[in-house]
Amino acid sequence: MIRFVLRRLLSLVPTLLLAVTLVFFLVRLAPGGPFDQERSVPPEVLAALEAKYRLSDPVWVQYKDWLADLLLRGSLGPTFKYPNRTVNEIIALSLPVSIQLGLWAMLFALALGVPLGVVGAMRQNRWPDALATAIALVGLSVPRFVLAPLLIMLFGLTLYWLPVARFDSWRHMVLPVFCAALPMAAHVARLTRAGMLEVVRSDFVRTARAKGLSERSVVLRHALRGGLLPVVSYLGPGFSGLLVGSLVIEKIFDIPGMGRYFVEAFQNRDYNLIAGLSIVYGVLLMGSNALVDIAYAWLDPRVELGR
Amino acid sequence: MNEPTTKPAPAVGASQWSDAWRRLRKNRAALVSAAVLVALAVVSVVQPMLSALPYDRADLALGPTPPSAAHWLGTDLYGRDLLSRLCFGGRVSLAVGLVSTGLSFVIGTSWGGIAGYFGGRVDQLMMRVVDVLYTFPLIIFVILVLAFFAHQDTVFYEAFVAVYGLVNERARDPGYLPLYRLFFVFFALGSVSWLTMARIVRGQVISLREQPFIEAARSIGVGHLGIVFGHLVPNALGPIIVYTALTIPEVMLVEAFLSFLGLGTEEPLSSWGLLVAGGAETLDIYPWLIAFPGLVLSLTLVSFNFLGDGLRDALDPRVRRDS
Amino acid sequence: MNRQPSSMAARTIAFVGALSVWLGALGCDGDRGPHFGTTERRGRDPHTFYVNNGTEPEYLDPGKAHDSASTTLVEHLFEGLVSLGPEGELVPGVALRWDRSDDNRLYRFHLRDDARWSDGRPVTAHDFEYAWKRVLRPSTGSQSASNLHVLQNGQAYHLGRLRVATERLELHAEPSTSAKLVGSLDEGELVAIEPASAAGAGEGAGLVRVLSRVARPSFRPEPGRGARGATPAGEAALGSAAGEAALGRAAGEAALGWASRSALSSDDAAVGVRAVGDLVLEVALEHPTPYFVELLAHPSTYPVPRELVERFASTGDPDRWTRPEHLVNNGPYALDAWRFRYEITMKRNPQHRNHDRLRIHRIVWMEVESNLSAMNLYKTGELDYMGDNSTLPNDYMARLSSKKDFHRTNYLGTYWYELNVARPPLDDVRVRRALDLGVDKRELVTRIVRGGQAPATHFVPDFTGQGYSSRVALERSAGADRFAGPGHEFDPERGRALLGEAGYPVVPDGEGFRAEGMPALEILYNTSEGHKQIAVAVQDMWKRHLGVSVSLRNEEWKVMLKNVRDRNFQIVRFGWIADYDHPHTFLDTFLSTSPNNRTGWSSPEFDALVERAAATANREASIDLYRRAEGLAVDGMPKIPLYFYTKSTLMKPYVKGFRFNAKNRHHLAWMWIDPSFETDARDEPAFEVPRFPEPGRYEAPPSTP
Repeated sequence: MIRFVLRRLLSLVPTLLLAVTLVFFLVRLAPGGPFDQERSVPPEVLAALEAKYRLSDPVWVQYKDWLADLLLRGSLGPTFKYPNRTVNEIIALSLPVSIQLGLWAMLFALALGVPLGVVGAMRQNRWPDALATAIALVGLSVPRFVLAPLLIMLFGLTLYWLPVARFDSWRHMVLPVFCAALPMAAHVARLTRAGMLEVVRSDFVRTARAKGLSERSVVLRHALRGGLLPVVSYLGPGFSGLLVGSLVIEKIFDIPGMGRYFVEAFQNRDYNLIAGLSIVYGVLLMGSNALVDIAYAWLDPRVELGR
Repeated sequence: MNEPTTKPAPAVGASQWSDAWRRLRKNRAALVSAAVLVALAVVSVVQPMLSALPYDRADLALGPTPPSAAHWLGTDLYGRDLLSRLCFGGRVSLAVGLVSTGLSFVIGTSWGGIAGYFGGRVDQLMMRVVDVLYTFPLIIFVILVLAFFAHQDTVFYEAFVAVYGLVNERARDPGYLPLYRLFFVFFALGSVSWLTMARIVRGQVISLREQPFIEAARSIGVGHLGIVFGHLVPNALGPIIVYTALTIPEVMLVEAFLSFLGLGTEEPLSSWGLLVAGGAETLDIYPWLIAFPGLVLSLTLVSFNFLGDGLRDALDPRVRRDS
Repeated sequence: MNRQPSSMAARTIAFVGALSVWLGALGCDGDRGPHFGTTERRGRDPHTFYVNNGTEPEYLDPGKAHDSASTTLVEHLFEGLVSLGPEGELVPGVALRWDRSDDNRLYRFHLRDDARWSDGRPVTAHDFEYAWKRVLRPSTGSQSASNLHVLQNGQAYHLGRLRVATERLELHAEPSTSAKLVGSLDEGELVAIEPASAAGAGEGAGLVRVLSRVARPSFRPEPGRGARGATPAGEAALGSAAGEAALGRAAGEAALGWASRSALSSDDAAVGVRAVGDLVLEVALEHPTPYFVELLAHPSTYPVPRELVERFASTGDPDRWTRPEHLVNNGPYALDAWRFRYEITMKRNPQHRNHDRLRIHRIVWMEVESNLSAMNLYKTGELDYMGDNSTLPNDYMARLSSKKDFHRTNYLGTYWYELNVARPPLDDVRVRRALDLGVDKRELVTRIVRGGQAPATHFVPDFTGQGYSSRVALERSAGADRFAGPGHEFDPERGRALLGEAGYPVVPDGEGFRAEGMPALEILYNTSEGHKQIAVAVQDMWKRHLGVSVSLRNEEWKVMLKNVRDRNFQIVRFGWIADYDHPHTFLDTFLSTSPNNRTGWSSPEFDALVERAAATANREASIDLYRRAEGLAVDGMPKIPLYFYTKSTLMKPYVKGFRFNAKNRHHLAWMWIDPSFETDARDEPAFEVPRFPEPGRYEAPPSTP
């Protein structure tokens, strides 16, 4: 088991490197450069700026320097848009915010989604199932950019219970966490329901029932473990997606997280920042996918690892 | 294998599909949903042909008006008829949803099934490819695709003009460029949304591949691909179909997000995502601009879900003994 | 499991329906009351001001700040020679008074002796000289350096074309050291060299083409010296040669010869600014520049703490000195905390002379990017002012404009469509004018833009200062507005006739028109709801009034800039926000030599007229020339002016001392918070606004170094 985990983690390094290299070269192919302005910048100034950020070198030299900086000093380089910050600083400032938001959202999504899914599967086609499905469908069909203004209008501008934006106290967290979590909770509920139905009909659950185990223990001990497999598959990307934040949520609630940079850094052609973000995202994503593989083993003993 | 296991499922044959169809017909929720979807699709295709109010006819003097006899669903900022825009948007959104999800279904199922079945190095390699693609941010991918291919001096454009020219002799008019660019949005969305599908299928296949019925199939000489597509994938169809039903709304929403960034559907074309995203900005000023597109979008997503559930139940080979 | 699934679906739909009805009912709550949102300031310190600054500033370094989020903050942290009063007027900053030569070319500033850096050191004329030359130094990479191109030799130095001979040099006729000699340069002589981009021929031999001799600035007034060409014969090369060389015009024309590159070094000593003692700063300009003192309110002309800047530059981290833990500044406020991408807090600067007079002691600059979110924060009382750098959503204008805390004023900027005049059919001026006549600009501003903007028939906003607005008023009162009436205002019939003349007869087509043979056009805009709305409306108008089909293309900002730079566009949306309150800033973009001329339109007549206008010392005469030049630009119509900007904002009624001005630059130092605003009618600025005395006459320097 430990060998499997180690191997799994080690195998991430080349994948990550490949992904980041791809990003590094491809973003430089996109039209436009980091110092393009509405008002023209004289070529001499442009040359000075490009020299300062080593952008005048051939791309492979830039790549070599960048990789050397990264491996030897752990430095992801300066950003072009925020000259007195480094990419490391920006990530160090924004990632914790996103993690905070993402973790709460995921916990909330699981706490809401799994029970809804279980209830739906156990009482298939009866009213608890209908209610669970309704909640899930609202979560699925109301996009975040509609849900957030609605909730702000209700709780912020009409009832004055919660702040309309910003990120200063737990009260500021309530609405963004809920908005981030609801679509995820919906996914989790639907997948749990489907997975549970799959397992509930399987023979080993029948056998468990036949053995006279209580319904409760059948569900929790046997069915749930197998039924959660699709959910766990979904959680890998879902979790890292939440961690890096949601652009829409951060924008509407003015939260200084990492999500906004994914679009923005590209729009600014902030090459170093894009590469840095890809690394963080890649590590989170692959890390959580590796966790998912390990969780498979724990949830479903039928899965054989590392064959 | 210390847990009780499932019985071998019968191989998929013609009888399974006819059984499934028989069961689906009994499921009124699924049928109603299917009917709703068909109705939406038909209206979307037909209304723009019949309506006297083209989706792009503006009337600035009129401006945004609530629903009235002349404009059943009201008008937008430019005085354009919302019903026409909604119907035209239906064409775009349904196409985006179906094409991209179709791509996702085909690629994701094959990729995940093969990776999960063979396991070992093949699995490692294939899943690392998925990881690498995952790490590549969607928006960068879309911008690059549009920047490199979506202009007029590419072979793709000539192909577009040739094909579209069959139905519209003015295909080369730059007014149709947004339509041309839309194809790249389809392509971009489809080529990224299969990744999660592949992971889910792989997860299912891994848990199924050691089952006795697979070994039985192997022992009677069924080939690798036959096992993957004839036995493993059909037995994992439940979650796959449910996830597909989830992917369609997802893709529609991603399309809205891209439109919001200026990368998806372009004015004066419309899509449900674009209409909902635009309406959300003026939620409390022009509520009809969010209410109707939101309603249609939700109705579509709900319908896809019930249809997905119905299909899942109908296709599940183990349900047969219950019914 | 035998229940009918359809009843389950019905139930699901019932749940969803109930939920949406509930939410819908809650959303119908209107906004009543005379103000937008709360006017209570619950538990907040009356000396702390909360304002939105829109986004994260790029630089807090005055020399490099070029985006508005940065310049707003820099204007509070630093102080230039002149400062802005509550109305946006020029008031004394570090300078107490100034002298001007008769030809508008030489300026002398007298500095106050109580200006201090936040570390207690005095702010001197040397700090200004250093700061200006630093901005112009190519290696600084300042993106707002063009503001200082007006200094004598400033542009040539900035573009790296000003050189001084470090030894006696031979001049060769050809790019080869063995070529025959055509002359020589003395040690210390100044020359203009060919731009680096044009180099090549002499590269191998280490030679560079020397274009002309350049004179050092003379800070002595010279009666009779005006613009180019008016210089005394012996100094013919002064100024203009470097200017011409800098613009690349002289390339290929007569040059002095080729000289060793290594013996020609870049030198800022010839730039027209010098400190004379600690308290006098003298400036020599390239040309008479009527708007020069206006420029001095821009952060690029503010002083910087030399010692600190050089210390950081030497460590290879030249931009870090503006962090709160290091920053030394000379403005009324000091940096307190900087939460990246979230908010910046300022406190009073104890070294500043106005420390005890400021009535706002702390400023919290939030960085809320979404206009809608900022508006919500204002509504709930989290923000006292929407801020100079955030805008109100168009769709909410109608609802907001009836509120008492809503403010609207003209804003120095013009929104226009730029036409690529190199590409048919836009190479035909009749087509360009027809397109202008086919836009119903009044409908555009009332229906689409909705901010109370004035439809524009020309390029310089009617309310531009420095004599322009009074000129417009004069013309109007005489009933002779140069840019009103037929040929300027919306006239689809005339537009269709013009298209016909250009060879595209407009024929009726169904309910509308069709311009026969007209090639398809495309409007390019960067992705944004506002630009999209305008483009959709203009597209519709051209179709409806002129029968011209236009498609829309929206592109991400950087992609669009690239395409515009490559001239890969037909019609592109742009606007111009004034750099300074003078018509020149708008008309400059039409000059054939302007790097901001993206249309490809050029008119020697126009160039000459603007040049003459700038060199005319008499203000009325100068403005008259500018207005005539503008007429040429309107006739050529390389850009279709759509409207003059306005600025709409929200400011809580308890904020006093607020004067909304057309520069949209509002210094919080003048404001104060009045908790008893409901009964208290006082609204004067926080403290008395100082005024400049009339400028003195620039006499010969008291002592020549």
